[in-house]
Amino acid sequence: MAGEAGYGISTMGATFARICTRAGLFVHGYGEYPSLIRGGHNTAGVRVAYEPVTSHSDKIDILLALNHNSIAFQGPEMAPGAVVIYDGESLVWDVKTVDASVRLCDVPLARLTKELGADRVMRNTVALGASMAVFGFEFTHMEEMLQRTFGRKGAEVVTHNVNVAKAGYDFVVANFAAGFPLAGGGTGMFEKKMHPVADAPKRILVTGNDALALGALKAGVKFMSAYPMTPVTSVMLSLASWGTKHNIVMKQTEDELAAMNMAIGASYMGVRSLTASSGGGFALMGEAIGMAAITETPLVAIEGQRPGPSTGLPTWTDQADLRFVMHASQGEFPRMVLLPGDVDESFDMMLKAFNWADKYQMVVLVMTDKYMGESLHTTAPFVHESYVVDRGELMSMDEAMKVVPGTYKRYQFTENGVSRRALPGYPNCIHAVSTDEHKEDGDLDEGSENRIKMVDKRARKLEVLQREAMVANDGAQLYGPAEADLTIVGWGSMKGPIMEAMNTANENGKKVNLLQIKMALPFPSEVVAKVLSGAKKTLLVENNSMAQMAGVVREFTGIAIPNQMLRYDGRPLHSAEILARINTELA
Amino acid sequence: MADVTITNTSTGAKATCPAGSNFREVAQAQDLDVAFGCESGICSTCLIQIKSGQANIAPKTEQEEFTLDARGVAPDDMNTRLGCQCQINGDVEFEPGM
Amino acid sequence: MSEKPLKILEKMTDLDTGSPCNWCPGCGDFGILVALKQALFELKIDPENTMIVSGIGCGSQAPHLIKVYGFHSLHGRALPVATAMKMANHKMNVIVIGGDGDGYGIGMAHFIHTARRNFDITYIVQNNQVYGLTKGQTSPTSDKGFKTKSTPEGVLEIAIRPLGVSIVAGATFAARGFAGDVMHLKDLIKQGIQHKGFSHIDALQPCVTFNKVNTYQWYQQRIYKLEKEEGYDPTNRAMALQKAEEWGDRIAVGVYYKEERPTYIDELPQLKDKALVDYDPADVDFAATLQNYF
Repeated sequence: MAGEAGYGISTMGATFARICTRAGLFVHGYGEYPSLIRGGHNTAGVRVAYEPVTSHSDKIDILLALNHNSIAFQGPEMAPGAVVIYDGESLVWDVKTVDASVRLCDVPLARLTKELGADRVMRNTVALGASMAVFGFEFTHMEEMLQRTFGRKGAEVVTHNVNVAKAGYDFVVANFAAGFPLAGGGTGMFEKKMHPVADAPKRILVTGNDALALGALKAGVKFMSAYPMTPVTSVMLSLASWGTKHNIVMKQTEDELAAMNMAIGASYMGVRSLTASSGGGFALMGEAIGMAAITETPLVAIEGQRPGPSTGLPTWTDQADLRFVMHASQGEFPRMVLLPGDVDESFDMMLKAFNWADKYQMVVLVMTDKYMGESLHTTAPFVHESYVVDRGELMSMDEAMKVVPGTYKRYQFTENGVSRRALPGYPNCIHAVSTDEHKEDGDLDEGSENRIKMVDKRARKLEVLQREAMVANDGAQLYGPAEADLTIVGWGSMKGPIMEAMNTANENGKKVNLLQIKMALPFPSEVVAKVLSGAKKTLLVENNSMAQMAGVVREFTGIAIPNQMLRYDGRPLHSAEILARINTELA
Repeated sequence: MADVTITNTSTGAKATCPAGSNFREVAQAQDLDVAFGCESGICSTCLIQIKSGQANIAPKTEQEEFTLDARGVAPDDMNTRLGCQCQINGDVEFEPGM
Repeated sequence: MSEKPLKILEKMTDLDTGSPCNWCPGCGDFGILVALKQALFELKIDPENTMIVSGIGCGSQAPHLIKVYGFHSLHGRALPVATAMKMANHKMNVIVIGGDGDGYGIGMAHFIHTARRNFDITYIVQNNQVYGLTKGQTSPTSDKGFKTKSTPEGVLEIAIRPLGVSIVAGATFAARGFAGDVMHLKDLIKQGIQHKGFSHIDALQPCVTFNKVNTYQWYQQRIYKLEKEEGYDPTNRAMALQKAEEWGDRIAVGVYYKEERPTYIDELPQLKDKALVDYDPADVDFAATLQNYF
C-alpha cells in the first residue's frame, strides 16, 4: 500500500497483516514514512508466506496505489505478473511506465465510498476489500476481522465497515473474474493467489516494540517514565494503555533527563522501572546512567536506533549507535548491552534484563531500531509461564526487622560484588546514598583505598554475572552448518534478512552460516573467537557506515573482519541483496 | 559561688545556674528558646545579642572569633556572641538572632 | 509482608548522623539544616518513613547529615528523582533540598513541571545567590550587576524571582525563609511538610565565603515578616504574585501563597488502594493482554 501520509496507510497494512496471520499465514510487515504528518510518501509493505518470513522484500506482487507517487516510486518495484489496484477515475497514469505484464485493477474507490455514504477515509476499507479479492481470500476472513476490530464500537459500525469492504471485494470479483487487462495489452490472471491454512496453530502479530513492552509487562514493570521519540514511542503507549489494568504508572516527562532520572528514582524505591528513547534522547540520559551505576540501582532502558547524526533520518533505520550505547556516560562502570535480533528475542531478553538488573544491581541497556521496532512479525505466542521474577539481593521487610540498627551497609563488600539491598521505608536500615564516590554505608568517601575497592566491587558484578547467570547462546549464537564456506557476522535487526538469505543460499547448495552477536556487553569473546578463528571466510553485514561491530569484535577477540556489507541510507538491508552478496562471495 | 540568672528578653524565658556554667547546657536544660546546631562554634545557629551583663561572659573563644568574623560581625562588637561558646559568670540578659 | 512499626524520635540528636560536615563556619546551610531537623523532630516524623533527596552543591550534602533515608542525586535532577520516588512509594514523606543553581538553573525545567504536577513533596532551596561549590560564580538569583569570576563586568541578566516562577507554574504552597532566623524557617518548613501538595520554600542563606554582597547583615536590614503585614492574604493569587515581584530594599519572609488542589498521587487510580512498590511484580495477568495480539 502506498500513498500520502494521513490516509491510514499503516493502519491498512496492519489490518491486512492481521487478516493473513489469523488465516494461518506468516507475515512480515515493513513500512516507510517521512518525518511529517500530512503529505509526503508513505508505504506499508506486507510480505505473506506459508512459512516464516523474516525480511521485507524489494519486489511487489500487489500494489495498492493511492496517488501518482505510488506509481512513480513503487511501480518499478512491481514483479512480473503483479497487480496494481488504483482508482482510475481520480488517478490517471501512463501504463507504459510499468512492466508490460502488470495486471491493471481499476476500482472506483472514491465512487463506491460515496455511493455508500461513507466518509472519504473509508476509501481505504474499499481498497482493502478489493485487495482481499485480488489476493484470493474469501470475504468471511475480512468480515471476522472487522468484527474483532470494531466490535467494541457496536454492531452498526461493524456492518457499515463490512458493507464498505464488501463493495470493493464484490467489484473486483464482478469485473475481473476472467482476468485483468495487462499494461502491455491482453489479459491475464493473478498467479500468486494465496489461501488460508486450515487449522494452523494460533499465532500472534507483534512489532519489536510490542515484544519489548510485553516483555516488560511480564517481568513485572510497574513504572515507566519516557518522552515520546520515534521509533520507540509505541513502547510507552503500550504501557500507558495497561495502566489501570496492570497497575502500571507510565509518566510522560518534560524531557529525557527527567525520564531517566525518574526511572532510577522509582527503581531505587524497589519498583521495576523502564525508560526508552532513541539516540538523541539517550544522549540526554547519559549522565544519569552513571548515577544508576554508582548507586548500584537496577536500571533497564531501551535505546531504539534511528540514523543520526543529530535529527538525521528520524523515521528511518540503522545500527549506528552501538559504540555510543556501549560507552554512554562518563567514567568506567559495568553495564549490559543486549542486542535482540527478532521479536522472540526482544521478549525473552526483556524478561532476563529485569532479572539481571535486579540480581546484579546493574545497568542493562536493550538496543533495537526502527526496522525491528516498528515492523510487524508473526510468531508463536510468547512462552511466559516458566518465567520466575528474581529480585536478587533485595531484602524483605521481615528480614529488615531483624537488622540491628546502625549496622546496615548498603554497599557492603561481598565476594560477588553484590550487596544486600534494603528499600527506603524499611526499619533499622536508614542509609543515604550518593552519586559521589562513597564507602560501604553510602557516606561520602574520596579515599584512595576505598575508591579502588569500590571500583573493583562494581566491576566484579559483571564478571560474576557473565560466569554465573548466562547460559549458552545468551551472548552469541551460530545458525546454519557448523562447517561453512562463508560465516556472516550480524546483530540486531539484521538477523532476519541474513537468516533468510542464508537459508536460501544453503537450499541452493551453498554452505553459509550466521554468527549472531546477541550481547555487546559483556562481550561473548570465547564463542566469537572460537567461531571466527575457525571460519574459512567472514562477512560482516551491518546497517551503518563504520562497521562498528567489526571494531567491537576486534577489540574483544583481536580478530579482524575486513570483508563488510554496509548500508547506511536509512533503509534496512533485505534478504535479496544479502543473497546476491553471498553469491558473489562464493562465486 | 552564688547562682546567676540568664534571661531571654524576647521571650521572657529565664534560667538560673551556678556561675561558670556553659550557656548552651543551661539553655538546653531549662529551655531558653535558643536553637543550637553544631554545638562547637562553627554553624552560628546559636548567635545571640547580649542586652546586659556582657562583662559577666568569658572572652570569645578562638573558634568563636573565627566564625563571628565569617558572619561579618565586627571584631570589636562584644555584644554579639555564639551561645554555645559562652561561659556565664554573672547575670546576663540576651536576645536570639542578629 | 508485615507493616513497619512507627518509629518516633525521643530527642532531636537522634537525627544526627555523625558524618563529617564540610560547610564553611557561619555558612547559611547550617541554619537550614537545623531548621529542617527541628521541623522533622517537632512533627514527630518517622525517620524510617522519610526520604531526603538532594542535587549537587555545598548544601546537597544535607542527606548525609540527617538520619533519615537519603539520596544525593545529580546537579539539577533532585526533583525528577524525588517525584518518581513519590510515585513508587507515596506513603513515604519526600523532602527535596538543593541550591539555587541546582533548582533555578540547571534544574529549572523540572522545577516548573514538578510544581504544575503538585506532587505532595517539600522542596527547600538553599538560595545563596551564588555557585558555592565551584568557588563563586554567578547564579540565576544573583542580582543584575553582581560581579564574580565568571561575570567580571557584573552579571547582565536580571535575577530569577523563584516564588514568582513556582506560583505561576502551579505550586500550591510557596514561602520564603531566612537561614539567619532558624525558628521562623523551621515553622515554614513544618507548614510546608504538613501542606498536601507541592511546597516550595526559598530559604535565603548567606554564602559567607563567596557572596560578599548578600550577607547576614544585608538580609537583616531588608527582611520583614509577611505575617505581620496588614491585609496580606496568601490565598490571594494576584497578591502573592505581586509580592513575589518584590526584591531589593524590602524582602518579605513567610508564606507567600497557599492553595488546596488534588495532588498528583490523589489522581492516579493505580495508587488508590496501595503503593506501587507493594504490587507484586510476579502477579501479572499476562495471558489476558497477550490475547489482544492474536
